Amino acid sequence: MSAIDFLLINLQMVLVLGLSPLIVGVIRRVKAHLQCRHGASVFQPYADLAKLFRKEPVISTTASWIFPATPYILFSSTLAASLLVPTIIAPMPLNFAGNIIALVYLLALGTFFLMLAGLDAGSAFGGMGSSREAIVASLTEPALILSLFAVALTAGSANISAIVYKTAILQGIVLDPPPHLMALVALFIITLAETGRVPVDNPATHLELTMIHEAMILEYSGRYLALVEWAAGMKLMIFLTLLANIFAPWGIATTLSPSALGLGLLVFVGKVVGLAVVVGVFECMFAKLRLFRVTELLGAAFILSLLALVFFYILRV
Amino acid sequence: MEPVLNPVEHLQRIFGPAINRVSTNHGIPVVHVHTNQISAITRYIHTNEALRGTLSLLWAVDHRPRDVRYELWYLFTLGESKDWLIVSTDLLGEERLFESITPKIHAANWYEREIRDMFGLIAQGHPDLRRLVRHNHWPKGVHPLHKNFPWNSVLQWRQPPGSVDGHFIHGEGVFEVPVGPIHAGIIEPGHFRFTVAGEPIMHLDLQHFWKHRGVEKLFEQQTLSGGVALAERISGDTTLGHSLAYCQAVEMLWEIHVPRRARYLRSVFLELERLHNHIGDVGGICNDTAYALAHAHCSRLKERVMQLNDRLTGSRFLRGVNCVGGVDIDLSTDQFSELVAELEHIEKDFSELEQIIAVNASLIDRFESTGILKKQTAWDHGVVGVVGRASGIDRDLRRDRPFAAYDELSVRVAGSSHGDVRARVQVRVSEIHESIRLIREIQRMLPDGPLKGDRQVVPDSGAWALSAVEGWRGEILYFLMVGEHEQIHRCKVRDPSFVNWPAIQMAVIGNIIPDFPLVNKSFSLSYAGNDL
Repeated sequence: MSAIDFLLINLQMVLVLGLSPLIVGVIRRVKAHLQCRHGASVFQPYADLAKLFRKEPVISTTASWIFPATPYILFSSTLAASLLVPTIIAPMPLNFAGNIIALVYLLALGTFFLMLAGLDAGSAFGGMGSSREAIVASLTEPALILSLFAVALTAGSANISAIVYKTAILQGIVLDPPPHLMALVALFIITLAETGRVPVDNPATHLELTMIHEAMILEYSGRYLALVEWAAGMKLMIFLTLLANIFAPWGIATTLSPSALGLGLLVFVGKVVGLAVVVGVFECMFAKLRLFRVTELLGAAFILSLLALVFFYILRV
Repeated sequence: MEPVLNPVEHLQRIFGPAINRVSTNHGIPVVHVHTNQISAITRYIHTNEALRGTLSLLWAVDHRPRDVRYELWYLFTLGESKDWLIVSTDLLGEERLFESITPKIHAANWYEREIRDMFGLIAQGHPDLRRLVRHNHWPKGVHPLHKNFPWNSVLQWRQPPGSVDGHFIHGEGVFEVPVGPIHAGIIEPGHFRFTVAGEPIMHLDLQHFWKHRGVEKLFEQQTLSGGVALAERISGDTTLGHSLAYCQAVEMLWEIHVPRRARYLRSVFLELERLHNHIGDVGGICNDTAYALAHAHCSRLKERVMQLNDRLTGSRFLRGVNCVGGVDIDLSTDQFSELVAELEHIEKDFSELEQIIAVNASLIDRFESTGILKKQTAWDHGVVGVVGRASGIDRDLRRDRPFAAYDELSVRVAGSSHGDVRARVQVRVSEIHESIRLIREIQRMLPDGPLKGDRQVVPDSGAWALSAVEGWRGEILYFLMVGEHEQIHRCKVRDPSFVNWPAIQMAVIGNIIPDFPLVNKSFSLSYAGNDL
């Protein structure tokens, strides 16, 4: 691995770590504006993280090693997953390390441990959150894989860097708008579900009984909570990056020239912030779904992904 | 059989010898009966087609030191006429047992448990005599409303025997989810124990009274004129409703004629209180479905009403408005114009929001068929107020037993028969418009005159009055009995929450746990007013 690759990997890490709290802040700010509130600064999540890191964590007496270990597992698996997704340059230096499947299951690893930790603390809400998360996760997983496969087929590769790179330079790729659009919609729904946004979950609620993600992490405090929150922010950013760069990678740097990288950075920040605004607007338009209707929504995402695949073959013939 | 019999004659005909005496107090008939007949008579009143009485209040009075006896009072609201009828009975000397009416009249459930806790009188045959107000750490034999219990006693902490009460359903895959009394949000304390199989709720057991402050005992330390401030503080969101109900009771005892202008102003303030609470609740209900947009706007509008309250009276919660005999706050013509103009703006904004809510399919999907309270269940529990009207119980004291200026105003009573969250939202929305309309009507009719009436008599020891106000939640009842030197001998306070809480246990059955907060918010009950 060359020095420049090493530099790029570090740049990517700094970018994902540094930008993800901002994305959370942007969504909150958009929601506040739509509700006629001033809202906190978009940089508030940074201050929250800094505060949490300084605070002493409290751990339930019934908790085993899983509870304190989970934040680290979650944080590192999410960070590792983020290194597979091209942000400002394609292909990524680490693209040999894994493809779509590695990405999906690195994220699932974190979710799995989070579900265990929810049960581990021994509170009634943690178990409820874990059981609900299990429903949501088991339904989003196939839909997520299928929607990514639909795009992978058109690019002829399951490697995310390759998909992005080929789409960006429009080479060796068949661009079929219908499957792409269907996969895009499916991935957007999955993004809302996987990152615990309205209409699947409500990140702003104080009602323990309605929570999914928040119920699992209810017992976390101090630096553990900071890591979990930060990981949640990164996960959101990974999904927004996927949406932005798989379906509209244009502007991403394909060479190592400073001007291309600079442009790539600008375009990338613009795209994810724009998507964050869309998510914020979405959250204000809808009420949360009844828990058992979440399955219908995720079912729709699955069907869309499946149709995207079928259409790919139909359009080929 | 002759067609027209008044209820008392009706009872006399059926239960002749069991009835000791019949009297009338402030127009309310009181039938005094033998203790062993109480169950039969109350059941007859409850089930007889001509009477169809709903138990509205059940309370006990310790007559010491005047008399060594306890008296039990059963207040019924009769079906068609909405007239009141009181049945009372004595427990003499050391007698501590009386027959429970709960097996026949469901609404008596909490009242009888409360009487057992506060007086040590035991309702025999009650199906569930767990402690209600006294939590398990209270020592045995402590009954705060006994006359020989000093109001400032400090109780010893008792190690609660065994585990928490209440394992209701056993079986594979059946779990209990305890929630509260400490919650994640800033809300009042209540302990909810759900029995669930997966997400659907099979049973809910409420354990309240964490905010028990001994309000009824504190009233007994006050004179008649001194109780207003305490009444205002029973449940902050119903400041005016409670103070009005209390003042009316004292006014009956003192035979004060409240001037018309004061009665009209009381109606204005009562509608303002209804307005800010209903607007806040509509927003709160939307917020519990994560539809924060409506919540933000409702909070804004609620704030405008509360600031209006502040400008008009100097208190956002309308404290210090009522006084015995009338009101302490007058509204000038200019102030009234400002009030009506401001309400005009608020109604316009609110109507716009209503449109947005009405067409939001995702929101309506959450509201419809969630938390259905059937009419029969509501009737069995004696449910009152917004919740009752949303379930088809057509009762509104503003129309049925007019107080303040409502005898000269025509109140259009909102209602629905669906009994779900949507119905409760709709009833609130209609009542918001109706309140604004009433205030406009009052602007046209507001008479001039004094704000306070004078007392006419000194009530005898043992005189009592019963007063009722349709607060924004529902019927607020006050029973006030005076002792020596105008000291309050007994003050029974009944916030509508006390009757509606048990009904929520029925409304949630079969719903899923994540819908409970929504159902709960649509009932919007007070913990402080319930716990006293």
